Amino acid sequence: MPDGPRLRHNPLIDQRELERLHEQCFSWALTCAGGRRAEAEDVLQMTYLAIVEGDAKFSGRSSLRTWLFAVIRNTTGSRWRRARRSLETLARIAAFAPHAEAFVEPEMPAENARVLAALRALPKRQHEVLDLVFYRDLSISEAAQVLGISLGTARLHYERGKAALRARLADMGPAA
Amino acid sequence: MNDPTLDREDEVLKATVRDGLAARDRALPPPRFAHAWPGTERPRTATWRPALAGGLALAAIGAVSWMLLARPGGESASPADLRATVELARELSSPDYWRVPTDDLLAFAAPPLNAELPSPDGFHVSLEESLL
Repeated sequence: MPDGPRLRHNPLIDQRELERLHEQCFSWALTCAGGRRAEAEDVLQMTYLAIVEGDAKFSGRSSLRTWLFAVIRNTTGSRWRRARRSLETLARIAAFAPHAEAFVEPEMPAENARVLAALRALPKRQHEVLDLVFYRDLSISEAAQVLGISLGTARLHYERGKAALRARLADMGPAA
Repeated sequence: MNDPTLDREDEVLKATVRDGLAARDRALPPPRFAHAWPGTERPRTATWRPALAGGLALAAIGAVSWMLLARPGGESASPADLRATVELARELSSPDYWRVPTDDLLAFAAPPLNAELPSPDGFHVSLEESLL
């Protein structure tokens, strides 16, 4: 556990620990932002600002990583809620807006692109649970904390997500 | 990392998902931490301190205005000032008159009396004479 400077308004948080988790946080922000890089960067900056200013307070009831993922997800959600209230912002981020950030499929092997497409096609909660449990090694209980849902609901999304993902991958067939 | 709760099919699915997301993360590397980190912490007093200073300034201006324009005994003494005068008179006439703060006495100035009192001619007694 790093022993670096503590944040003034979040004394339980070690800045070096945050720095260590930065890459994972960005990866989770990418998932929350639907793979849009600029949006993920904005979300992460807002998350860090909320942490520095103490608007998001870590009380140590969960691991720092679980808490960070929850804050990132909530930040993404609140950005979208605010955006809906603003027609201008909605136009910027909506897929039909000419100046919206276009979704660009990153360069990667076809098989990986196929899996990502299948994941994106899942309902949001199923996608998020599978991402957290399979890729980030969170337990289903921790994933439930991140998503702010009950353990039973998280289990349901997990089981349904696995079944749906298998079905989609089978429908898509092998990568070209 | 193998999870004992996962069966063989789940392990394959997990590995597939991990490979896909890892490839995405390799293709979209994160910005540097220093780029995303807000840097210097903004003190939480930054927002309320100017408001407090403004409030204090307004209060000071109000107090000075009150002292200049509406203090008790001035030309425009208000009913509240008169009440204060009555209160001071009551305190001075009580057995504990010596408890009245000197500052109150120094600040006291009776409002001008707009009535003529009967005064016998030649009846002028100085303060010194009255004490004898």
